[in-house]
Order: sequence, then C-alpha cells, then structure tokens
Amino acid sequence: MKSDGAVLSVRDLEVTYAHGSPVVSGYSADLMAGTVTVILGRNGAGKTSTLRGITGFLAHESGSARGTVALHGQVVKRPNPLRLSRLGLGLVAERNKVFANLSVADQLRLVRPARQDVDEIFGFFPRLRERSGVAAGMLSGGERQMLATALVLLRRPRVLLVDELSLGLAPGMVRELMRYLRRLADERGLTILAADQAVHESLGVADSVQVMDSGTLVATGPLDSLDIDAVLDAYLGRHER
Amino acid sequence: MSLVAQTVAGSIVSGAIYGLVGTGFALLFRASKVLSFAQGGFMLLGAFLFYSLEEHHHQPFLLAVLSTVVVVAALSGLVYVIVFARVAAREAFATSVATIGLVGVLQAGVSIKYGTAPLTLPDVVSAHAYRILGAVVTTADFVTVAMAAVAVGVLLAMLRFSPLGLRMTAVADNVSLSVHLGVSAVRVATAAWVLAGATAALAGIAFSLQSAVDPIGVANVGLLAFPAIILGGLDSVGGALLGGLLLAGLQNTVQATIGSGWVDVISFALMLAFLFFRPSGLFGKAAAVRL
Repeated sequence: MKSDGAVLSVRDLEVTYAHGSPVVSGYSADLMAGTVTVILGRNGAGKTSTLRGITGFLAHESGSARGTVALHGQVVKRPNPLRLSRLGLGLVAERNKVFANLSVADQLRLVRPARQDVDEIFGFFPRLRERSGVAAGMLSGGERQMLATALVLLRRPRVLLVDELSLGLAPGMVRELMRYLRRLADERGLTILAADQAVHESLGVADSVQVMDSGTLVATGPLDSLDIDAVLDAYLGRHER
Repeated sequence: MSLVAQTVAGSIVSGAIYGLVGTGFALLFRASKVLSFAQGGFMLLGAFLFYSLEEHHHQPFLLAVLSTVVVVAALSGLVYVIVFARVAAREAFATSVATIGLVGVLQAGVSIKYGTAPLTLPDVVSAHAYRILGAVVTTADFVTVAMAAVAVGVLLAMLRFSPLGLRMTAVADNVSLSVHLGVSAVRVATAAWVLAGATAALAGIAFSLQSAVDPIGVANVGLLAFPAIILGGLDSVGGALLGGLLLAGLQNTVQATIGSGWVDVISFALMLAFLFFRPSGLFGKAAAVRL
C-alpha cells in the first residue's frame, strides 16, 4: 500500500452494524510518527465507529468493517484487537477500559510485571503513583482516563487510538489529559489518533484535524493549513453556528 | 455439653467438605462465570480413584491422595480444553448447562466400572479417636479438616500473591479488557478447571474417609454444597469455606434440635433468602464503583 512513510494508513474504511446501512464510509488517513490527529464530529458522526473499525473491535456488537489497515506499510490481515495490539496499535476505549475492582498498581503489574516498567508509568503519571493502592472503581474520571491510557501504554504501542478522552470531565482536566497526549507524541514519538468532542482542548494539541459528519470525512488537513472557523463551522454544522 | 461439642466438631468436618467443593465452584465462577455442576462428578471420580489406589494397589495414603489429585485435576483441565473452551467462548450459560451432561457421563462411567452399591474404604488412616472438650474426634476428621485448610490456604495465597492469581482476578473483573491487554482467558480458565478438579478430588477423598465410597452420596454433595456457595459468595474462595462451615453448623443444629427431615428444607430456604436479599453472599465482591 502506498503510504509515503506513514505509520498507520487506512484506506476506504466502511463500518456497518447488523446489516444496516454503513455508519462510516470511505474513511482514509495516513498518520505520521510523532503526530497528534484529532477527529472531530458531533454525537453519532461516526468517530467511535471509525476507531473501532480500524482496531477490529466490532465483533461483540455484530458490526463489521471493510477496508485496509496498514502499519508501517504492511497491510494487517484480518485485523482484530489482540493482533493489532501485538503489532503496536493500542486503543484507549470509550468505556469499559479499567478493572473496577483491582488496585491501580495491580492492574499495571498485570500488563507488565517488571517493577521498572510500572515505575516509569508512575513517573509519567505521578497522580497514579499517589493512588496506586486504590481500586480503579474509586478513582475520579480523569484518573481513570490516565489509568486506561497507562494500561495501553504498557503494551508499548507505536500508534495510540484514543476515544473520547474528555467524556464527562471538567475543562481543566481535559486540558491536562490532552497535554499528556502531546507529550506522548513529542517525547516518545507515538502516533496518536484521538476522537473527541472537546473542540478547543483537542485542537490545542493537534497537528492535524479530521472532521466527520454522517459517517464521512468532510474536512481534513494539517491544523495550520485549515481555517479554524471554517473547521468549527463544518464541525458544528448548520445547527449551532 | 458433649452434644454441643459434638455438633460443633461435626460441623467443622462437614463444613470442610462443603468448603472444598465450594472453592472449586468459586474458582470456576470467577474465571469464566460458569456455574459448574460437574464438581460433584469430579468428586465422585476422585473418591473412586482413591478407593482403587488403596484397595487394589495398596498405595501409601499420601501418595494415593497426591496421585488422585493430579489425575482428576489433569482430567478436569483436559475436559475444559477439549469440550468446554469452545462453548465457554460463546456462552457461560451454555457451559453451565453442559456441565450437567458431564456429571451424567462421569456417574455412568464410574457405575460401569464399580457398580452402584456403596463401597467401604480399607483402613487408610488410624482408627484412633480423640476426646476434645467432650467431643469425639477421629483421625479421619483431622485429615479432612487439614486437607481443606491447606487447599484453601494455598489457593488464597495463589490468588493474592502470584501472577496467575492476578490474571484470574482480572478475568473475573473484566474478561474482554483482560484479553485486550494480552491475558489469555482460555489459559486462565484452564488453570481454574485444573485447580477446581484438584479441590473436587480432595472433597471426594474426604467424603469417602467420613462415610463410604457411595456414588449417589458423593455426587449429591456437589448439589448440597450449593447453599454454602451462595451463602459465602459465588466468587469468593475464602467465602466458600466459611459458607461451608456456617451451613454445616446450621444443618447440624437443625438436626440436633428440630430433626433431620428439616435439614435440606432449611438449607435451601436459606439459600433462596440469600439469593433474594443478598445475592453476592456474605463475602462475595460487590463491584466498587464511584458514582
């Protein structure tokens, strides 16, 4: 697949649930190392389905995805979450992403038993170190997002897909979490694709923007090449602006 | 006074057997949300294998116990891998129902080889009895309680401190997330079936030491232990032992005061009451979630 050095390339992704009409169609993207790309769109625009379609996380929902996913130019055959995770692609899902009854430290140890790996994560997310003995079900929403991100990071991904990091969180916490994404791209060279509804906070850390409406991309490009007002017009559509 | 002491002693011994059966149920439920009715079947297999090793092959007691535990545990793991791993991947409910069929197969296999009449174990432990605080306690009683204490202690330590225990707890908490993070749910479930087979074998041996190698009686304990498991909490290994002790205490008290006809009625009524009012049992884990 021609991808011009892209770490993750997606071509003509189409996602369908239970024999209905496609909820995502014609989605294509090339993501470079060390960049943050944000997918914006209203509820139901197809952001989550796009991320789940790329990772093959659809089997439990009677969903199916067509199209091509390639990592470092190599097409992934029959993508599924575990295979992609082994190939270096991790998804921080929207829901159901931490073990409610396990302590923070225990679930980090579950993924990587080595103490130095867990210490490194605590170094990156100091708040998780402070809460290491607490069951995840008792963490705040922001701390849960940090833990969910940490669990996927311990699988040492090269590409990180992040679904609705801002869901239900105060703007200050959303900005803090978005800064973490920027640092992961800058300091570790991770390629990040984040679907989010927090427009201003996510644009604050993005290199590129993709705007979705009714399952298709309506605008896409590097942040500095786009007119932000036009992006927001497209994002918020005919109703809010 | 000696009636009270004897009731307490008897309750501890019966509770230990219920506890051994119950820990297997709890392990399987945690690992795969499967309610295995096959525990009674593996108990039966353990009882008859142990009988055969003692009666026909005259093995030393400890060696016979060890051989029985290893064989039944391996068979339980094998049955899971060959038969249930595929069903379980689809549906815990279907697997639970399928385990009823497995009990039938194990029971039929044992009765073809050994017949249906109860058999008596040779004297494998000393027949000596001790008088403790007015209660008569036999060597077999000590052996039964020791087997339960060691098995539950080892399992609890394994769950708390070992990587396998952590993986089992994670799968019990959220199986799809575990798989996504690289934990093999099939390996964890296989380990649970192996360990549940081991505890069922010990329960079968303990039951045979206490009464007879009775195909009906042994398999029935698998069902009679249900109130103990509900009482202790379906997903709690330690709770299974404590639930067993509480149930046995209740049953022996009912038997000594009201009459033996009421034992099963009150046991299952208690189970229903728990299912209505406290389905997670006394020691089961209610999910900790901050709202």
